[in-house]
Amino acid sequence: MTTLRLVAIEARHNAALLLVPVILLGAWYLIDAQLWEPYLWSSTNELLRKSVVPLAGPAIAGAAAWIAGNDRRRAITDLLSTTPHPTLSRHLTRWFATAVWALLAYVVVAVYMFSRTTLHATWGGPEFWSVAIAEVALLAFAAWGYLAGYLSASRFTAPIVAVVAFSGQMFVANSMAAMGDGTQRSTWPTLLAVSNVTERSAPWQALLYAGLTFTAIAALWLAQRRDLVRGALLALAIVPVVGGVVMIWAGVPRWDYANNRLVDGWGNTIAAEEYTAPEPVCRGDDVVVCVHPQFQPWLDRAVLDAEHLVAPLRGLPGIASPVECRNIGFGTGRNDGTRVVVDGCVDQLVADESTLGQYGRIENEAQHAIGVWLLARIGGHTMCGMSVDPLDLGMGFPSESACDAGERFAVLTEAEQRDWLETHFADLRTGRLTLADLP
Amino acid sequence: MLFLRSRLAGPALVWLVAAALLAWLCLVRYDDLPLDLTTLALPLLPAVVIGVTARSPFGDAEEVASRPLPLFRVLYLAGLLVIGIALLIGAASVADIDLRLALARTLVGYTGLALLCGRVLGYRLAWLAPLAYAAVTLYLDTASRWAWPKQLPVESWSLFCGLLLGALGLLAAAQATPGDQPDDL
Repeated sequence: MTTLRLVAIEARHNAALLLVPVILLGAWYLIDAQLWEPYLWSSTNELLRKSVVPLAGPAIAGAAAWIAGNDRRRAITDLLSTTPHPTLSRHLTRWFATAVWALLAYVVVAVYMFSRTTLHATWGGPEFWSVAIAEVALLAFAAWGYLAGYLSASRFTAPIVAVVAFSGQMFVANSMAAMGDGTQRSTWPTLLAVSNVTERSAPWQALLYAGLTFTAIAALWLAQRRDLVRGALLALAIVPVVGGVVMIWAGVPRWDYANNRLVDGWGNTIAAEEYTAPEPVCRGDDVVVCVHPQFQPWLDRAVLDAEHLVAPLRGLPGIASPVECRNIGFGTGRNDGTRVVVDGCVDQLVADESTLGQYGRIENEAQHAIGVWLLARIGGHTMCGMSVDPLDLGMGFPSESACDAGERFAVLTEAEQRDWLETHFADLRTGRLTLADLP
Repeated sequence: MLFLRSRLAGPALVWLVAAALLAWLCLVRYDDLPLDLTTLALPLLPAVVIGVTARSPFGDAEEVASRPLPLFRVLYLAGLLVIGIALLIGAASVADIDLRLALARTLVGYTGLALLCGRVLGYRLAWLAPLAYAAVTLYLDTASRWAWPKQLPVESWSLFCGLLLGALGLLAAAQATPGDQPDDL
């Protein structure tokens, strides 16, 4: 009880209190900038990992560094050493009272995001384990900041600790290695960053950050008086840190070219994780759209878009009844908002499967032109005006001529469009038409 | 001399040199880092060092001095800023791509943020504003107007933002800060 009271007293008079609105505002802005979709658990879980700790961690480290040096700056360390309370206990109380504000700010953000998503999401759930790891990481940031501030009470310590913590985690999280073909690939140290935690590496990340916290506390204890017991405790505290790093490194899959299999760092085969896709949710009578259950809130709008897409082609040869749309996508953006994208359905409507390219996309120019017209009717992305596919991968980009032809077709009356389609649609689908055959 | 000693100008210079050395090391050893992250992160350390040196240990008592302290404050901080820019530009000369103007722009802007934040929250927390801004900018699209610290090449908008913040920060730091406690160093 006494300890809790002391923590409460320290927390009330702690400068870290000023960080709470900064962390909340920063988190709110970052989540908005990264287009948080509150209807999706995947979006919520990912942004909660990426958007709070990169700011809160360095900030609390800097605040802890400042607070740790207060006694020395005011020259009252000798006076405090005469109090009956153990020195380490006093420091731990102050450290925890500092860290608790960052922990609370993170919990507030997590509760807000989880609450909104719980109300609207139709599939999935919260990742409480990533929240727990983030909280342990914040304790570690505060512990190391406190240690640095205790060792050096200079006014420069706090800002330097904050900047080093920020830059360090940023560089670790974005660690890349150049490959032989000129591309870049993420390296395993990226998994040490809280923002990159995976379910596979989660236990080892928790061990790593807990170990870092204990190491800082043990070093603080040793700095007060050097003896064998305290030194041994520090050595012991380093073990989980090393263990966590080693296990994270070992858990990264790597390809064994000799035996043609995926292995971990110890040479053990990594079995391909079996992912059982959930039963899709389908809606629509004349046009059926099926999506992953997490996209169910947008399904009605997608069915409407798909019906509008198919409407001018109804009854033409090759158009099934009902039409089952394939290549359904999902898009987010400030302009279009969040939506299920049915644009990919165009390929199966205007082309036989035999005429589609390597990636299942349209290659014929006349088919592109009619596809442009259909997409423009529903406000879809026609890809007109985009630069030409530089690697020529057949990714379905229409040429400028095809786009022009599609725009000319759109200007015709509905009767003229229907007449042309009834005459030429069968040939269009089999790829026998060129742009010259379009009106 | 007392003025410079009270602001810990000597240690500040040492840290500016250390920051430049660190920047040089990053550019030499990790030359494959994304350029926008480099321009975002490298000026942060010298900016916060300059920001915290604006703190006066004398508080209001300093106002009875016979010398024009606002001018001293501006000259001192501007001088540190110029030295920091020169050191950072020197460190950036090893990069394959010319980052000198970008780093100078971001340093001026961050320093301005630090000084403005120090005016409001006290200079012991001057580092908070540039740190928070850098963290937010990390996830912004480079085309966004708010992402001026990491925009490359340096164009008029980002240059304007950096210079404006720097000027406002120096102006704010020229004024006395009653919030400073005389017993804190």
